Order: sequence, then structure tokens, then C-alpha cells
Amino acid sequence: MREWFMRVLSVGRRGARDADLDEELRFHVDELTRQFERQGLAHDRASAAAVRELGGVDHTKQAWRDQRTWLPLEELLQDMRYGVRLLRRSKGLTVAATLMLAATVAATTALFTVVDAVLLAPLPYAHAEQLAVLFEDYLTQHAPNVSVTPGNFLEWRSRARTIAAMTAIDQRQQNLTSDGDPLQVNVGAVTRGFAATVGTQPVTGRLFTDPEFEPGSERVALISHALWTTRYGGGAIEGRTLRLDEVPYTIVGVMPASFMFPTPQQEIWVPLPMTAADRENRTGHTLMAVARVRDHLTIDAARRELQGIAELLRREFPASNREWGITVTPARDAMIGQTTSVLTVMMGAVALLLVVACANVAGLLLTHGVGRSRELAVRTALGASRLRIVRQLLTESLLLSGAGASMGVAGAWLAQPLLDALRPQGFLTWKPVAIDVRALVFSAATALACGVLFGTAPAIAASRANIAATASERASGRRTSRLRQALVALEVALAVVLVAGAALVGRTLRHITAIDPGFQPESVVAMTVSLPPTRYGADRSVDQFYRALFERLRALPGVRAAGAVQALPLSGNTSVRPYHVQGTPPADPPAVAHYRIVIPGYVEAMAIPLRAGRTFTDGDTAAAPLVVMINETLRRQAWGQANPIGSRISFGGGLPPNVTYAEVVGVVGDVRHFGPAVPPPAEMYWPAEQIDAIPGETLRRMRRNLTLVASAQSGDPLALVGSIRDAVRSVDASQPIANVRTLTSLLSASLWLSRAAAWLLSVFGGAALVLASLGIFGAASYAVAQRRRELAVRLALGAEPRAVARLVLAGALTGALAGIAAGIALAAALGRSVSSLLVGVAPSDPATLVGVSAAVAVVAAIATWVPARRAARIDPMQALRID
Amino acid sequence: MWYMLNTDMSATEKTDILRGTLDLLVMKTLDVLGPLHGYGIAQRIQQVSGAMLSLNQGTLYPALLRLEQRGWIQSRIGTSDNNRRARFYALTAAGRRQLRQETEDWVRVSGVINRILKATE
Repeated sequence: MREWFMRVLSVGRRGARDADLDEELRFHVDELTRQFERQGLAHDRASAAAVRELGGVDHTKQAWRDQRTWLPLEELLQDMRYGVRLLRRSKGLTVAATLMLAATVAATTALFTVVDAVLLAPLPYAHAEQLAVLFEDYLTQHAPNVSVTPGNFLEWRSRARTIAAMTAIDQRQQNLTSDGDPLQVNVGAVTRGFAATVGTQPVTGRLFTDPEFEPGSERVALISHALWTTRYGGGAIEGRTLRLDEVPYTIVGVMPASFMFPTPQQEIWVPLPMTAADRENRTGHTLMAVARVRDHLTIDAARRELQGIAELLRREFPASNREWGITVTPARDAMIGQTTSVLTVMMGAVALLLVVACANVAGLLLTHGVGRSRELAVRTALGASRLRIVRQLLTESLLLSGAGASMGVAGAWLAQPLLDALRPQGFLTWKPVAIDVRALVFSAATALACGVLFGTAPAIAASRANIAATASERASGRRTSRLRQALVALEVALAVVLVAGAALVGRTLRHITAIDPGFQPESVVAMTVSLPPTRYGADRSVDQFYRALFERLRALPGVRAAGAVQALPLSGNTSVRPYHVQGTPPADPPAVAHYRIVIPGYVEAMAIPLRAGRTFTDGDTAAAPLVVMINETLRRQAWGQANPIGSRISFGGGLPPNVTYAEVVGVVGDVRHFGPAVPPPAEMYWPAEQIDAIPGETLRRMRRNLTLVASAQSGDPLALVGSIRDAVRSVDASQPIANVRTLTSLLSASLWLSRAAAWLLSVFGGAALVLASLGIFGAASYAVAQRRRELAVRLALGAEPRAVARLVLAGALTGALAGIAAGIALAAALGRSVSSLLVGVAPSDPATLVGVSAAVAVVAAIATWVPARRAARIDPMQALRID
Repeated sequence: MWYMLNTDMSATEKTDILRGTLDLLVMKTLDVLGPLHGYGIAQRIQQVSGAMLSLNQGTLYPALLRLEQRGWIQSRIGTSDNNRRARFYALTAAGRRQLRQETEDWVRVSGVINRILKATE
């Protein structure tokens, strides 16, 4: 151990001991010489004998030095020192290669931090891989992610054997009215099984006990870490009382900051008791269910069992369950959704770009290596083995990649704020997107892989070239030229793939942004209110609140129109019920439509066009005849070409024989409720004041939680928020507003994924194209230099300069054209992997592929043009005089 | 060419065998005579072994460095009998322990080998 330690320590240190050794050996030889002289030899023969006795002075020194340090390390250091010197001498090559690598490593590292945070970092739950989110699958409507009914949830939970624990959450917006200004908070009412499902302990206090889930027991609450610190200053909290919609709850604990069940915005959890009525409720889809699979079982196994149970329920309860199945999604997939596909595609794209950069650097090094053939030949002649030379060249490329990677990581580091700024608000991560040890390890591995990738081929080529030595320099040059052409073909192929990807996603983005969302998002601001049921109960107090409020809102200067809806477009919320048109045969399964409970003025505020009839007015009160508006999709679906105005459709979702009909008074335009890329659903609109005609708490609860929308006459609609808040307060002083956002921001958030994908792919594609054209240019220039004599002879023998240029052009373009052909094939093969990002354009869209190939071919021709012209202008006399 | 390669290999094998014993001889010499320079050590080993052991004196220096790296000997610059600067090597405490250990091992192993050789005669 100690010996190795000493040896490694003395690597690269040539100090006093080496000088001392000279003296020591001289002393030894002198003494030996004197000894031999004493034995009668002449001085010169004596000293020769002395050296012989020692076994050679230099040999001894070498053996001593080998012992002094650790040779491989010493050689590596030598190689590195030599490499640095060499790279410093060929500055152009070094700068070009380093910058190329730095840029690509920066992109790779930056993307990796995002991928790591979203796709790789474990969810903040114990054994998160056992967690699955359960939805009901509305089979006949192809809607696989519908909220769960309490009755079905309880059936699943009591029957499933593969499930260790299961809980359901009823997400509510309520007003927190104690300890400060009224605040709208996200409350999750959770059923028994919460603790065992999430497997998370509070930072202080305790979880709910079983008796607390019994109906009528004392009200208790857990609060989020964020709420604890912002509203309660992080002080003593257990046993304090908070008031939700005027109802007191005793705080029993605080959940950790990383706990975001089921969303990061969740602030309060309370027990949700399950009653006998809940057990029979298999029609009210209000819950979100989460299950923990038993140890050693997979989510797939649980899915098989639960789907079997859903099938049994279909047979046992045909009235409610005939059209319903179950969807079981791993928790991570449910949380990050579509982001996965985008990130996977981006990571693939950046990897391709990295390969292009490596191929480019390899091309540079290849020519560089050929330029050094004389030096390498000399080194071989002096006894360097081929392996040794390959090793030295590899060291040089690793130095290059190391330098590039360091700069790249520094670049990614500097770009961190940018990365954070680009992230939209709804982007879910539970680990900061930041360069950490994992990212550093990743980029180091990338650098190493790059160094080996672009270093190996040139190193082997160069070492082989030097065996043939200068004698066949031209032959080795030709071989190098072929290798360069192959590298060029690779670069061009990958550039074609990336540019094609960018073009496809770009066309998708253009397609989506050109789609009319069905409303005018500019100048509209939205916010939510949440009226507590304690004060806004069964009488007309809700109607009075909204009437007073909207009277004030419409009178506000700057407000063009104002209204409200229970499910705002692009908010991710919707509600669905079956409908029946009076006088038509009942459909089986019954047709369904999405419904919107609205305050008059909503359609005007959103500028949804009126196609026929009228919109709702203040005259459509609870006492007035029931009225409905429908959208064009529902009109087509239910009436075909006929005029719907004046027909009667079921109100509140009833089906014969339990049905209340209402008159269709208006037809409005379709709204792209789920984003521009998703076709609009069939929609029916109900006036908020008339829903009391329908029994049940669901619709009434929705009416207490409407989203207000107001459109500004001009300018920034956010400027209206202050006066809107004041108007709300003047009607009910304890009523907060929350979730303020513009429709423009919602629309751009819905486009964010496509936009980010298009931007990134364009940048990667552009970079790949630049790199590939540099590669083509380099290879062509090299070929011209290599064939200078031959071309000069041709010119001297009377060849047209134009013909010579064409010769060069053809030679250089061969590689590029081969690359384009391979690129098209590869792009077509990879098309399916990006199809999840495409809307309105096929992955193998011929027009795009042809256009991209033509564009790349033009770029390739331009990159070859300068070298070709140089070839045509060779002065034969001068060129032939060189050797 | 091939025979050169062959002789080369056998040569390395020989030095490998010698290496362990050379360390032992150097340490024993320093133990008996006290601090000594390289030349002195070589002379002493040759003197004692007579014609039995031919020592390539150059191999002594890497061996001395190795022993020093292992902490068994230490060296300092001193003055030789004829007033020249020379590096003197001396056994350390650790070296003394090592010498005792290796001597015991050597005696035991050579005893065993002797017995085997005698038994098969």
C-alpha cells in the first residue's frame, strides 16, 4: 500500500532524487573503477568493466525510474501534457471541436436535469411504484378517466385482493376564514385507508384515526407544510382550530413539504365519512381513487383483478354500471401525463445531435491525424508501439471531450434560470430542476462516451496509416477520405432525421395555432369563487349573491361582459350527463353531452358566437320556463339537419321516464374545451338559477363553485381583477376570489408542450444541419487538398475547370446524398416515436420528407461549392511544382 | 526473432526470483553493518556470497528505492570514506521487524525444501 502511495505521489515529479541518482551511480562506477584498477586493469578498461558490472548506467536509471513511479499513470500524464501542448498548437481544431462539444453537452445536460426531475426521480411517497390511480372508464363514450362514484369505490375496495390499501379523495374548494384574511383553499376529503395508501407520516402531529372516519365524529384536519408556514408561521399547531366555510375543525398535524396528494396545490385534508347512502351511490362521479398494490404484486396484476371486478359490477348493477369499466394507471404516469412522450423525444433528439457533433469532431481529428502521419511515423520508428500511439491519440480526444464537457456543464449551469423560466406553472416536478451530482455524473459519462466515440476511429486510422508510413501516404489519404465521407453521410442522415422531426412538429404547431378555439381568449380574465354551503344553503341566497355581484361587475368601467361557468374551457374540468330529445326513441346506450352551468353573460364574455336563437338573460329565473342552449356538435349529433330551436331536451341529465324537459332556445358555436388539438365535445348549457328543478346536491355544489369570467373593453384584463375583488367583497365581505388567470395564459399553457417541442427540435435540427454542412465542407476541402496533384494534371492536360469542379462536387455530394437517403429511411422508421406529438400531420408525411431532403441537399451543395471552386482555380504549374 | 523473445522472458523470470532474495540480502547487510551506501552494499553482498551469487549491481538501486518506498529503509546524504558525497541507507524499525519476519520465513521454507529434496533422493 505504502509503496503504491509513494509511487503515485511521485508521478510527474522529476526532482532532486533523479539528480542524486546520477551522482550515486557515478560514485558507484568510480569506486568500482578504482577497485578494478587496484586489480591491475588500465583506467579505461577498468571503467568499462565497472559499467558492465553495474549492468549499464542508463539501464539502471530506467529500472530505477520505473520503480520510482507508476508507469501507466506516468505515461498517461505524459500523453496529457503532450496532448495539451499539441491542442494548443492547433488552435483552430481545438476551438472548433471544443465549442461543438460544449454546445451539445450543454443541451444534453440541461435536458437531462429536466428528464431526471420528471421521469427518473422517485415520487415523494414510500414505495411509489406500488401506487396506482383509479378512474372509471366510460366505455361507450371512450372516456377512460372519469371520476369515481362512492358506491363503486367501496365495491372495489371490499373485493380487491391484490390491493393493500385504497383511498378516495373528494377535492373541494372551500374558504378558510380563521386566522387572517378569507382564503380559498384546496381541501381534500379523504376516506379511510388514506394513511396506509400514502405511507407518509406528518412532520408534526398525527394522521387520522379510524373513529374519525365515522359519520358525525369530531371534525379534524391535517394541513400542508406551505399553509402551516405562511398562515401559522410554522409555530405550535396541534389542537388549534381552523374554520372551513364557517365549520370548525381541529388541526391534528402538518404533512411534509414534499407531500402533494393528489396535487401540489392541496392545502388541507379532512376525513371523508362514507355513509349508507354513499354505498348505494353509483351515479355521482365525484371522487379520485388511489390504490396501493400489495407487496410483490405488480400494477398489471391489480389491473387484471380490478377489471374483472368492474365486469362483475356491470352484471350486478346494470342500471348504473352497464357502460362503466375501470382504468388503472401507475401514479407516475397519471401525474406527469403527456410530458413523458415529449421528454423522451427530446432526449432522443439531443442524443442524435450529440452523435452528429461527435462525427464532426471525428472528421476533424481524422484529417488532423493524417496531417500528423510523419510525426507518428517518427514515433513508431523510435519504438512506440501501435497500442501506445492509439492510446496517446485517445488521450487527446478525451482531453478535447473533457474540455468541451466542462464548458458545456458550465453553460448548462448558467442556463439554469432560463430552464426554470421556460417551465410552465402546471409542470409537475417533485425534485428541483437543477444540475446536481447525478447531472454531473451523467455529463461526465457523456463526455467519456463522446471522447471514445469520436476518438477511436481516427486513432486507429492514424496508427494504421503510420505503419504504411509516408511511402503510401496517398493510399492512406484515400482511405481517410472514404472514412470522412462515411462520417459525413452519418451526420447528414441524422440531420435529416432531426430537421424532419422539427418540420413535423412545426407543422403540428402551425396547424394547432390556426385552429379557432371557439372563443376569444384575448381580454378575458377568469377566477373562482367558493360559496360556503352554511351561508348559501337551500334558499335563493346563491342566486341573490350572483345577481348582486354581476349587477356590479357589468357596471364596472372597462368590463365589456361578465358571466360565470362551472367548467371553464382548458381548465381540465368537465361534467357529463345523458340527454334525451323529447319525441325521439330512447337511444341505447343513451347519448351524452357535456354540460355547462352558466350565469347569463358567459357566452358574451367569452365571445362564443351565437348561431341561432338567443342566449340566456336575467329573465331565465328559477320561476321562468326551463331553457337550454346547445352547441353545434350537439345540434348535429341530435338533430342532424333539422332546426332544434323550440324542440325540447331533457334538463339536468334525466332520461325517460324520469325526465324534465326544457326548451332549446339557442345554438352557440363549438368550444375546444380540452385544447385546440382535441375536437370539441357536444355541449349543453343550463342557466344556474334553474338547476333547482333537478334533485340532488351535485349540481347545487357546482353552482356554489363557479368560475367568474369577465372580458375587458380594452387592454390587459388583469387590470380588472382589483375592482372585481372589491365588487365580490362588497356583496360578501368574507368571500375571497382565487385562481386568477387569463384565458390567453390558459391557451398558451395548453400549447406549451407542442411549442416547446417545436422550439427544441428546431434548435436541434438547425444545429445538426450547421454541423453537417461544416462536415461536408471539411470533407470536400480535404478531398480537394488530397487530389490537388491529380486535379492539376487534369487541368494541365486540358480539362475544363468547370468539369474539374463538377468532379469534386460529385465526389463530395456522394456522401451527402447517401446520408439523405439513409436519413429519409431512418426518419420514416422513427416516425412512430414522435406521432404522439403530432396533430394534423402524418409522421411519414411525404411532402415534409421531400421538402426536408431537398433543403438538406441544397445546404450540402452550398457547403461543397467553395471547395469545388477552389479546385477549378488550381494553378497547374504551381501545384505540380510543389514536390 | 523468436529466440530473443524467449531469452528475454527467461531473464525476467530470473530477476523476479532474485528480487525477493535481493531485498532480504540488502536488509541483512544493513542490519549487520549499519548505514551504508549502494556501492558498499554491493561489495558486501558479493564478498560474503563469493562466486556463488552473481549480482547485477544495477538492480540494487531499484531495490533500494522499493525498500525505501515501503518504509523499511531510509536514506540520507552523507560523506564516504574518500570524502565524496554519497547516499547512505539505514534500516528502520519497521525494516528490522520485516527482516526478522522474512528471515524466519526463509529459514522455514528452505528447511522444508531441503527436507523434500532429501526425501526424494
